[in-house]
Order: sequence, then structure tokens, then C-alpha cells
Amino acid sequence: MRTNRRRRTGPLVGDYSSELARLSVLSWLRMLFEVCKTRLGDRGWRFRSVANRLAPIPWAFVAAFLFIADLGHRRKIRIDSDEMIRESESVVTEGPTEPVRQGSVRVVDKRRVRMPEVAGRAEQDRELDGYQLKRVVARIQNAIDIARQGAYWITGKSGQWADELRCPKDLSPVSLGRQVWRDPLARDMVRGNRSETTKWQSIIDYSLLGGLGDWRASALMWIKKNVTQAEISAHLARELETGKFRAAGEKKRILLLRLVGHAVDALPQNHAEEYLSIALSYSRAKIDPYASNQLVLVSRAVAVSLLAHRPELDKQIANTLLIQSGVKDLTHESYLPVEAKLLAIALRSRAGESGKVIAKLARHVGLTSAQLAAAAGLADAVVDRPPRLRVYRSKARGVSVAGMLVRRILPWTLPPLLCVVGALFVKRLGVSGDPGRMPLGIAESIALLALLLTANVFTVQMSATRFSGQIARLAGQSWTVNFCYSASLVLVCVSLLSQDQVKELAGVAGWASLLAFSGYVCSLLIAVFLLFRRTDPGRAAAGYVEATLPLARASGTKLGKTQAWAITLREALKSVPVVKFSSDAVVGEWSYEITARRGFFLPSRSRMRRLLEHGAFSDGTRLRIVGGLGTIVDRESDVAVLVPSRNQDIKADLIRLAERSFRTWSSVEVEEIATGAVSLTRLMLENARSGDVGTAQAVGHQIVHLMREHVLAARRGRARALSYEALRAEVVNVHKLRPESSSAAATLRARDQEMAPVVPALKAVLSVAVSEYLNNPSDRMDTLDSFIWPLLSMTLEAEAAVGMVVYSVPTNLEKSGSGSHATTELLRQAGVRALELRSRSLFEQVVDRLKDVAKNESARSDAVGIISVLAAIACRFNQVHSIYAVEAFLGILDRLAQTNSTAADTSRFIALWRVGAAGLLAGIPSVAVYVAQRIYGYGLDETLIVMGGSEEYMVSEMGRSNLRGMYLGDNAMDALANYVDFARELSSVFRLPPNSA
Amino acid sequence: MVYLRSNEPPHVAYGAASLSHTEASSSALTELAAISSATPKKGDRPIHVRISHIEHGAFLTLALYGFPVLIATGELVEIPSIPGEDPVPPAMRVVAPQKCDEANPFLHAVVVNHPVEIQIKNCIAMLAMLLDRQELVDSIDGNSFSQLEGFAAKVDSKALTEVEDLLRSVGWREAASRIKARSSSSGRPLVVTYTTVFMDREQIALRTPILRRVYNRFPAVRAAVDNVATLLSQGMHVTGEGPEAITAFARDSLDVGSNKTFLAHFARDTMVCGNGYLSFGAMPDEDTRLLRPENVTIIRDNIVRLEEGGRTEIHRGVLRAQGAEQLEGEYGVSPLEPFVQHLMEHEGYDYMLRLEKAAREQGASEEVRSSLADGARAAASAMKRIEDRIDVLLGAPSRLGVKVPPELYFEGCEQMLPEAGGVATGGRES
Repeated sequence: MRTNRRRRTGPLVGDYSSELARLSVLSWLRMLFEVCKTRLGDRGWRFRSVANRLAPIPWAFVAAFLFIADLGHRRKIRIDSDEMIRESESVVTEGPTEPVRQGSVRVVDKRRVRMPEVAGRAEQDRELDGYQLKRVVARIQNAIDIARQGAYWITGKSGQWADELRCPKDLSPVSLGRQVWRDPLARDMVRGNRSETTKWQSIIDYSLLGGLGDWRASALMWIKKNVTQAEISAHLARELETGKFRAAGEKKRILLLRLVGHAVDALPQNHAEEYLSIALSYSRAKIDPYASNQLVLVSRAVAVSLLAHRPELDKQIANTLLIQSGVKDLTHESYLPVEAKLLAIALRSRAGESGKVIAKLARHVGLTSAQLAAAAGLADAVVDRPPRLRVYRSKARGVSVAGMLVRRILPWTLPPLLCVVGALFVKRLGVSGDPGRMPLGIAESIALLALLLTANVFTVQMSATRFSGQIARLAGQSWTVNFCYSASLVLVCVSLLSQDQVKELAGVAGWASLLAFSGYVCSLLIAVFLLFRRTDPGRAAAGYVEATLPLARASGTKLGKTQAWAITLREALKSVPVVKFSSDAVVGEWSYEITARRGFFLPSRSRMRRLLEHGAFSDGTRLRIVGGLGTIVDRESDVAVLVPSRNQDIKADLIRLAERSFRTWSSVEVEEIATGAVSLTRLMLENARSGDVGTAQAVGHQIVHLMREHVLAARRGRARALSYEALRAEVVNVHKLRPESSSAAATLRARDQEMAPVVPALKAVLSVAVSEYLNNPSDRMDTLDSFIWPLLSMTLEAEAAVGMVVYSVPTNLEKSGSGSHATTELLRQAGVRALELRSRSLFEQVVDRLKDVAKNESARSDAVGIISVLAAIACRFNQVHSIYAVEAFLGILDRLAQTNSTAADTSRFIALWRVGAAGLLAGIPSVAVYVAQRIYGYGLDETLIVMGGSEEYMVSEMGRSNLRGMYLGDNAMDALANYVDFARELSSVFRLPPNSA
Repeated sequence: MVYLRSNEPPHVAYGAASLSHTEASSSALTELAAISSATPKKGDRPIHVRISHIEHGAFLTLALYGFPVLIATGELVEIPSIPGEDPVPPAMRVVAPQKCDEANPFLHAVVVNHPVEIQIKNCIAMLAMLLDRQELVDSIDGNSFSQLEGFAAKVDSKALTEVEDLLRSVGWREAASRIKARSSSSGRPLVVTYTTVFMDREQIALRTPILRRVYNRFPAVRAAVDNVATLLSQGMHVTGEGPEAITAFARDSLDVGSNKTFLAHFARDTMVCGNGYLSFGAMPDEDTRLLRPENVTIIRDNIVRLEEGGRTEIHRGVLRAQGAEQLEGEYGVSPLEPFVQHLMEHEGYDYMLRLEKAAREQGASEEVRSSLADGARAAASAMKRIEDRIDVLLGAPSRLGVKVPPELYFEGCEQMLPEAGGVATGGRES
């Protein structure tokens, strides 16, 4: 956005450039805007909206200025012209008068004629013509000025038009305005519409020979929008039949070829074949990277477009390759012929049939296995998407804040307000039957308060027998209880004030007391019922979460900021020669340890600067930081060590300064959230164990809700702090030292793709849940799908939740007592999330963990199955991941083959078939070809024939696919059968001749 | 090449150069230059040294703390042709350290990614070794010239040990002062300056043909550059939201327009020449082309001027990249700079081998043949040592298990052209 603004203000030249140059203040405004946006975060949208609305205002000023200047100028021109005309008229009137007629004889009164003037009549006429000419010139100049002003007017728009390919990007606004003023064709292209008089063919000529700037892209865009495919097709046919195409220059040929791409569906068969043949002939030329290669590149694009839309042209490629193989032996070519490459790229648009076409081409032309693999790799149709964060749309922030205020403040303020206002109102009405004397005395009021306290303590105690203290305490809080407390306090106050016979309360106290008593009774009843209901775990959890959410959000934001500052502080301290980071203090070193209180270890920048400015450091003292920046450190643990040089002593003032500098920040809120979440998790698991699945799931939903708000707040806080840091890096770099890389590094961090210090609550909850899931064979609640997966899917790579799950899985299952099925299923979910996050390292961690699990003999079969399922699922994400997983399970089965070759062969074939079918279905022929190669490499072609027709196996595989991510699509049996046909088709490529071994 | 023993493994010390670190490094080396620089007296032969920072992005080994660079003058030097061989094209001249003057100083590049402390140590060690080597060159007679390499190694080792001791005992400021005092008293005062711009555009352009020759001649360097080009070009994929067709179109454009191959060339230009320029033109799917780095002048942002074949063109929408970055300036520096000196030595030894072969084939006298045979043996072992040193110097890219595709570059463009005919410090001007 900033760049666009610069571009718009940059190229302005002309009379008003100095005025417009002042608009550089816009960049300052922009800067201010960015700072405000960073500060405001999500709330900045309103500010942004206002700022965007205000942005045209400076332009409006410029426009007004130009308009006024123009008016003045025109007025001046008009005045000048009028004066000139008047002058010329005066010259005429001073000349000879109208001849006097006497009878029919024309008499000239020569006395009034000035002889020289008569003689100079011709000259005067010429002068008059000169004035007229000047007047015309003045008008033309005026028109030019208006045109130029028009150009200024469109300055604001030209950037947008260039982005929409309606005008050239390399044209300045002034030139564009001039061009638009002069040329109707340019005007049409900028408008984007087709006027009745415009011949669209002339647009082509204009783009090739037109005025300033490169109008090719605009012309093509205009033709695409305004000309039908049939019109283009007819024009192309004419060009081809009349031989104009061959005779045309290179630029025109390129444009016509581009038009072929636009009308590819409407071209008649013979023309399509001819244009393909032309495109292929140009495509074969060599490319010089340091020169223009327009014709070759466009021809290749057109050939791909034709092949993608017209499957009937495939045979032309096959024939071309066959003809070439007659001339030279293609099997000895290390490179894939360009025609095969273009067909493979075109097949990406026909993903469903890409494998079939490639296999047929390989058999028909006799491609080698290397060429086939190259062609299949080019035909892979993976489309990458950024990872999705599964979060439910929560309430608008403003609504939730308002709700919190209502729940927190109103219950305490409403009873006194209602009592006073109600009593005054009743008194003003003059209602007879005033209670007169107090219905309740001070003793009764205090008794009511005691009653409320007892009820509250009793219900909390009742909850505490079933839940942990933290949950019971917060579940025992409700707005009705607060309302009740407030009403009873009003009662006490009114009783006290009435005792003192306050004059102002005369006639009001009775009514106030009555109203307070009524409120007390109603709210007490509601509160008691509510609190009794909260003895149910699901409702208690909901109550706890409702009460804790504001704290979870606030502490999450604080945690996120702490994480961001820890990252930046670590980076800053690394550049200080006297500071070293190490994992622990050196035992026995001649040094002084600084210990900490419990809390977040994050020294402030200013304190660190003050500490490092101490003279001891310039004399040789070193600082070793052993505590993890941004993490919670324990009380009395070492966070830093002062290491003096050999001839130094650590002075008391330095120790004091260091201790002050290394103070920790309170982590109570974050730990409170972690403790509460763990308590809720235990509550959920207890209920699940006792068979109360519904309640357990209700509690689970509340935990996920709490975690989501906490983690999202942490991410928001982190991102905001990091983007602030990125902005700071940009602004602070006054010396312009390596400006690009510094800002780029900061921006990269601001994208929040780096690992951050862990969120304690998330780590604790995942750890408890995974441990319970693995060690509890009867998982009635389906903890994996209903609890662990939602937690995984709401995190990104920075939170490292997948890593936490992977490393909490034991590798020795017999020792740990974990079930192999549960373990591998857990890793499958982790693997799927790693794939969704597009993280190669995380996916490889999962597969490697599964390989470790497969070392347990009892878990080998499950592990191989899950790795092959992950390989099949990975086909839709990245073929490299898929092949990594294939290699992993083949490695495990190779070890098995040493003891049981038959079982290994069967497992190999089933797993490979699964992956190959998924690859073919997903439009990733490279995986399908790779798998076929391995099938033939292991000599499983006989198994292919035998098992390929086994319907029983296909049905069971269909069920497996449907339960584990639908990796074989909606028609699993068709996918499996198609792969068998595909693999058979490739037998001529991969089956080695008998004597070649 | 200056190495310095460190107590820390390189991967611990090497890190991203943040802005604060860069500023700290810059101010430390400015102070060091001021302390160690001496004022030349009448009759002194000063050695002008210019220290600067670069960041090579881990293309070279992380244990490399700094390296010297010999300035190229742009002059061509004739290399005597070997009897029986075709005449070789003239070599490009670089300035030897002892001939450095104010206009053509001895350049020393310090890797900015290391801790400031290590950078300081590296610079002090370099200055000490430079002094010792100059004293050695001044003192050596013509007969011991063949043993120069052995002497130099001993001198370097001695200088390093002394610097280590000095730094430990008196600190770097005092160590720098002592070097200044020593250089003043030896009659070869060191005039040390620090600048944030390592090389200007002209010097970078002059060196481009030499760097292309480095790439063409050393297979290990070539493999490392090709690995980087493979990673940057082939691993590229398109990610996008919205309609699938748009993302698929962008993905297909990468292959149809040979964008991946253009990117491979772009990456190779960046790593070899220090700067890569990929122009997309008004219509990126047909106007894409590379610009030869030595002919390009940056106007601003992504607008450059290309002066080629007597024509001047303005290119807009140009993608630019730098191989190794300087602290300041629009132009990058080649990360292959440390290998230029190796190329010069390698070609010298290669010349000796070819000379010995020619003498053998053309029946030279026994005395000549035997003296050339001794030299050839020494040259062969020296060439082996150079190749080993190159392997050590190359960083992670040379050890990546990347499978370089056979069609990484366009057909016929496997070698980088135009390259220099050779590199030499002496010889007759062409």
C-alpha cells in the first residue's frame, strides 16, 4: 500500500510538481497510521477504515487547486483574447468608414480616409489573421492544459488501472493522459469497454505500433473481455488461410498466438492442429537467458493451453515423438523432449486422466523409466494452500467486553441504585401506606448476610468435594450471588442509617429496605438454584471457564508479548561480546550466581543496558545467562552468572545491580490458567473413566474453548509485539545499514512462523491428555478425536503442539504399557496436522517416530499401515512427503523380509497399492510411477495380477480409507482398480528383459 | 586466508546479523582501525588496508571469520604461451598486497555474523600476519623463493600464537596499539581504514569475469553453486488461497515459462557474480530475461539501466538479489571472492605442469626437464592442497544431498560466459 502511494506521487512532473511534492506528508501520515495500527491491533480496523476514507482528501485539495488554477488561467486567456479582439476591432473601426451612397454611384468620402491606413489594409487583415491564429493557438494550449490536468486527475487512478492491465505500467500519468486524450483506442482500453465504432482488430495493430508505452497486455485484456471466442477464432482462421500469419512480423505472430490461447475452445479441429504444429515448431528453439525469447515462451504457453483444453490433440504429440524417434533414438536421450514436457504440464489441468495418458504415451513412444519419471513429475498437480486454523467464530470482542462489564459491575451497582431510585419514585408519587418503620432492623440484616454466606460456603464446599478447589471456588461465583451480596449490604446500610435517624431518609428508608429485601430474596433463590446446578461437572466447568476467560485472554496476551520480547532481547544480547548464553552454569567456576524468584525471566532492555555499562564489564567481567529468556524459572534457580577476569573481584554494587536487572515478572496468571486447565482435564478424564461420556465431552469442549482463547490471545500478543518490532527496525535504522535484510528478518518473525517459547497451559493439557489416552485401553470418550485433535488443529507451527504430541509417545511400548493401535493412531493425527501445516520437518518427525514404534514387533503391522496411510494422504499435499513415507515403510518391511519374506511381500504390495492408487487419484502421477517402479523392482507384478482382482481386499481397503481421511476418494474401489490398470500399462517400461539382470 | 582458533564450535558463534549486532560490529571495527592505524613518515612504504563487513549467508563455511581480497584493475596481462600450445587469452590483473596504495588498498572482508569479539580477534590477527609476511617477503632472497609457502605458513602460525597471547594478557585495544607501534618502527606503517561499503559497482563489475572463471574451473565450487541454484529454483512452489484455478495457473506458469530455469540462472548469477537481475518486462510470461550483472546500474528499487552492445535500456520490474551482502550499498559481493586467490595460485601451478609436459614432449634438455619435473611435483601437491582448502572453505551448500537435475540450466549455457582468460598479479600489459 505504501509502495503504491509512492508510485503514485513519484512520477509527477510539471508545473504543479512542487505543490504535489508536499504530499510527501502522506508518507508520514502513513507511518503514523502503521504505528497506530500496531498499537491498536485488531481494533485498528475502524481506524484503518477512517484513514482510508481520509486518504483521498489531499487529492481533493490538489484537484481543487488545479481547478482554480485552471479557471484563472482560462479566464486570463479569455481576457487576453477579448482584448486582442477588441484591439483588432478598434483597428477596424478606426479604418475606412462605410462608403456613402449617393444614388447608385458609390461615393467615397476621401476626407475621412487616412491614406496610410488604406494603404495598409492588407497588412491589417494579415495582422487580424495573426490575432485569430493566436486565439486559436491559445485555445489549443488551453485544451492541452486541460488534458494535462486530466492527466493529473488520473494520477490517482493510473496505478489502479495499471494493476488491472487497462494501461501500461511504464507510462507516467501525464503521458497516459496525453495518450488517452489523443487516441480513441487507448481511451477504449482504459475504459475497458467496447465502443460501437471500435474495430477490435485495430486494437492489435495499436498495441504493436501505437504511441508511448507497451500496450500489449492491455490490448489482450481488452480483447479477452470484449471479444467473443467465435470472433477471435474467425479472425485466426482468416489469418491462417490467407497466409498473413506466416508473413506477419514476430510481434504480431506472438499476439496472434496469444489469441489462440484465448479462443482455444472455439477453434475448428484443423486449425487447432495447425496452430499446435506452429507452436511446437517455435517451442523447440533454444533459449538464451540473456536475450529476449518472446516467441519461444509464448509458443510453449499456447501449446500447453491447446493440449490442456483439447485432449484429442494428444495423439499429435505422440506422433511427433514417434517421428523424432525415427530420426534419433529417444531412449538414449537424457533429456525429455520438449513436446512430452508440454503435454505433461498440460495434463495438470486434466488431473483425473494424467496417469492414464502418461502411461499410454510411455508405452506408445517407448520412454525410458527416467523419462517417464521426469514426465510424471512435471504432471504433478499439487496445489499448495496455507495452513488453516480451525477456530470457531467467537463473539465480537466488543460484545464480550460489554458482557464482562455487565456481569462484573452491574450486580454490585444495580441494587443500591434500584433501591434509592425506586424509593424516591414511590415517595414522589405519594403512595399511601408507607411502611413507615423499618421492616428489618440491623440484627436481621446481618442475619440475612450471614445466611447468604452460609449458603455460598455450603455450595462451594459441596462442589469442592467433587472438583478441585480452584474450579469449585470459581464455579461458586455468579452474578446472582454478587447481586444478592449487594442487596444484603444495602439492607445493612439502610438499617444503620435509619438507626441514626438521618433526616434525608425520612419516608424513603422503608421503601428502600423493602426493595432491597425483595431483591435479596429473589436473587438468593436464583443463586442457590444456580449453584446447586453447578455441582454437575459440565456446568461447573462452564461456570469456571466463563469466570476465567477474561483472565485467560489477558494472561495470553501478556504471555505472547513476553515470548516476542524474549526473542528480540536474545537477539540483541547475542551481539554483546561480554554476554554468553549457556544451558547451565559451569560447576566449580570462579563466579557469582544470580538467583531468581519464580516467574517469567525477562530482563528489561533498559536495565540490561545499565548493567552492561558497568565498568567491570569493560575490565574483563563476563556475563553468562543460563535461564531461558521468556520462560518461567523456579525460585532460587540460577538465571545468570557473573564471571570475573583473573585479576578482578565482584563488587557488591555490581551484584546489587545484577540482581535488580534480573528480576522476574509475575507468572501467577499464566500458571493459574495452566493449573485450572489441568484440573478440568483430570475432571474430564475421571468422568470418561467412570463411563459418563456425555459429561466428559461437555467438560472437554470447555477446556478446548479456554485453551483456544488463551492460545489465540498469546498469538495475537506475540504477532503484535513482533510487528511492532519489525516497524521499529525499519524506523530505527537511520544509518541504513543493511536495511533490506534487517527489515526482512524482522518481518519474517512478525509472520509468526518461528518457534516461540511454549504456552505452559497447552503443554500441560496435552501432556495429561496424551498420557491418559495412551495408557487407558478403554478410551470410551474418543479422547483423540474429540479432545486432542481440536487442540492440535487450533495451533500453528509456532506453538509446537505437534512436536509435543510426537515426543510424548513412548518408543518402547511393552515397557510403557501403551497400546500399539492407540499409539499409531495418535501419530497419524499428528502426521495429518503436520501435513496441513506444510511442515516437512514435523512430518518427518512423525514418520521417524513411527519407525521407532515399529521396532516393537507387536506394533510393526500397525506402524506400517499408518505410515502407508500417511503416504497416501500426503499425495494431496506434497509428493516429497509421500515418497519419504514410502521409503520409511519399505525400510521396515525390508527388515521383516529377512525373517518372513512372504508376509513382507504381501504387506509391501498392499501398502504400495494404497499409496499408488491415492497418488493417481490425487493427480500426482510421480508418486504413482514411483510406486509402480517399486512394485516391479520387488518382483510383485505377479501379486499385482492376483491381488489386483481381489474384491474382498478392495472392500476392506475402502472401509479403511473412509475412516482415515478418505485418501481414496468417494469411489475407492475404482481408484484401486484404476491403479492396477495403470501399473500393468507400465510393465513394458519397468519389467526388465530376462537377460538384462 | 585467516582462521582463528576458537573455544566455541562455529555453529554456536555464527548467527543472524541483526541491526543492533551490525551496528555494534561496525563501531568496534571503526575503533580498531583508528587504534591500529599509523601515520606514515617520509620514506616509509605504507600498507593501505581497508576493512569491511560482509554477510555470505552461510554459503561458505561457518568457521570462516574473514578473508583478503586483491583489487582488480581491469588491465589485461599477457601470459607467455607454452611451446606447442595455442596462445592463451590475456589474464586480468589484480594488485598484490605489497603494491597496494591508497587508491588500490588491500581489502579484508570480515564476516559480520560472528560475535564482535571474534571479529576483533580476526582483524588483529590479519594485521599481524600481514606485517610478518611483508617482513618475510622483504627479507627473502631469490633462491629461497620456492620455499616461500612453507615460510609463510610458519610466519602465520607464529603471528596467530602471538596475537592469542596478546589478546589474553593485555586485551584487544592494547594489542592493536602494539601492532601500530610495530608497523611504524618497521618502515611499513599500516594505514587502516574501516568502511561499510566493501566494493563499489565498478570494482564488482571488473571482477565478474574472474568470478565466472572460478565457477567454471573448480568443480567443487560449481557443485555448491548448482546445489544452491537447485534449491532456490526447483524447490519453488506456489501457495495461495481463493480459487484453485488461479493458484494452478501460477504454478503452471513456473514451468511453461521456464521460470524455474530462469531462476536457476538468476541464482547462479547471484552466487557467482554477487548480483542477479531477472527482468520480467511488461508481460512477465513472455518478456522474462536475465540481465548481465556487469552491465547493470541500479536506478532505484526495481528499476535498472542496462548498457549492452552500445544500447541503453531501462528495465522496470526487475527482481534483484545479492550473493554476499555489504553493510551498505545497493550492490552485492560474490561469495566466491575467497577463491580468486586460489584460482590465481591454481593457474600458476597448472602453468608449471603444462610447461613441464611441453618440455617433456618437445625434447628439452635433461637439465631443464629435471628442474621442471621438481617444480611440477611441487605444483601437483600444491594444487591438491588448494582443492582440499576449497572443500574446507565451502559451507553447507556443498554438502547438501541435493539431486541436481540434468536440465537445471538452459541447453548450451552450462558454462558461464564471458569469463576472464586468467588472473595474475604481474606480467606484461596486453
